[in-house]
Amino acid sequence: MGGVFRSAGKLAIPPSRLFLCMEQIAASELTAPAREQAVLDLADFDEVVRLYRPRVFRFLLASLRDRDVAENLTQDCFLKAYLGRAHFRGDSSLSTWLMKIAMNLVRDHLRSKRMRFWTKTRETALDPIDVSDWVPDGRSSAEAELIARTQVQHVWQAVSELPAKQRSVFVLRFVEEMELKEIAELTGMNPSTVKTHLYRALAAVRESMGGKR
Amino acid sequence: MTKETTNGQVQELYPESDAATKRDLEGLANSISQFCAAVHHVAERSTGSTTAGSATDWGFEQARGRRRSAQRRVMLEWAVAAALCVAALVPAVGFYREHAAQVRTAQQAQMLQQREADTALLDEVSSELSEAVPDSMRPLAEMDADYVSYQTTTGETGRKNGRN
Repeated sequence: MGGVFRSAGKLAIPPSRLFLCMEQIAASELTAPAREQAVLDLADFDEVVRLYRPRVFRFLLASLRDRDVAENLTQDCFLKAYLGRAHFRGDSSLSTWLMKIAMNLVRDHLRSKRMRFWTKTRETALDPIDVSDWVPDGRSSAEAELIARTQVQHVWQAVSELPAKQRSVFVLRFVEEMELKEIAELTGMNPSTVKTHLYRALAAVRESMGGKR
Repeated sequence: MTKETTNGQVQELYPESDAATKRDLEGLANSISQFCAAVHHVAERSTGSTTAGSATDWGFEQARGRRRSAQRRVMLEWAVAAALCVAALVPAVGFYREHAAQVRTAQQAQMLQQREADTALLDEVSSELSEAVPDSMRPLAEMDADYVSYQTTTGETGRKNGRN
């Protein structure tokens, strides 16, 4: 299967270096050669998958809180990208393009889930305890560790209760560390709308953590 | 993501906050950065367990199979929906047609009754109109007849008197 992508083309420069450079270029600032390069980078699809899979999977996992669904949608995301690679013109960065596909998949999944409301909740859905299984670094006391886990549980719960758009914006900003401009491009929203969504999401999380709105 | 980065991102959304709010936001930023670290941890653990095999095996065939089955499922769903629609539509159309026929018959019967009533009324009106003097004018006609007969009587008497 890997050969399918390997045969697509070979690059003179190691692709990983190109991808890292691409990551640093803001989507709207892509010049003509950068666009050509972005399209060229897509040729080695295995490398694309290797580089961006963790990010896409992380976003899907945080958005849907279901490991299996996140895994399946990650595969679907790259399949869609592979099938639609001919349509990628390099107007945005590869990362933005893939995250846009992932966002659309999340939206479609949530929509179809609403339609199949009778479907039972899957056993693979991550519960807050699973997430707080993570052991914070540099904490010696058991009490501090417990507090950190409780905080993670609270944030996880608060994020899961956010509306889909606010959750996506929150995850993209705080988990994926994306700039507001990038999120705006990704979601197709105005930057000020993104900021409003982020503010509301943060206010909701803050409130659920016991703070003021 | 470091705690400081998250704190900066949170603080920029609350530019005009007092010292107490800033402390509160620092706590929030701390929780969010821990949440972020936890998500990264869970994602890495999950990705590590699923991509333990080949580096290039990212589930292309699985995704393609799922896509095909999803397409088949969608087609099947549409086919079932269409069949259900037809199944519901056929009796509904039958019922509608039967109901429409009943309504039409009732309407026709009502029209027939109406026509008969109209004809009877018209006959009555025309018979009344065809009379020499309508009922309502009969007293006047009688008075007129009396007057004429009186005049005739008095006229003849006068003429007789004149001749005499």
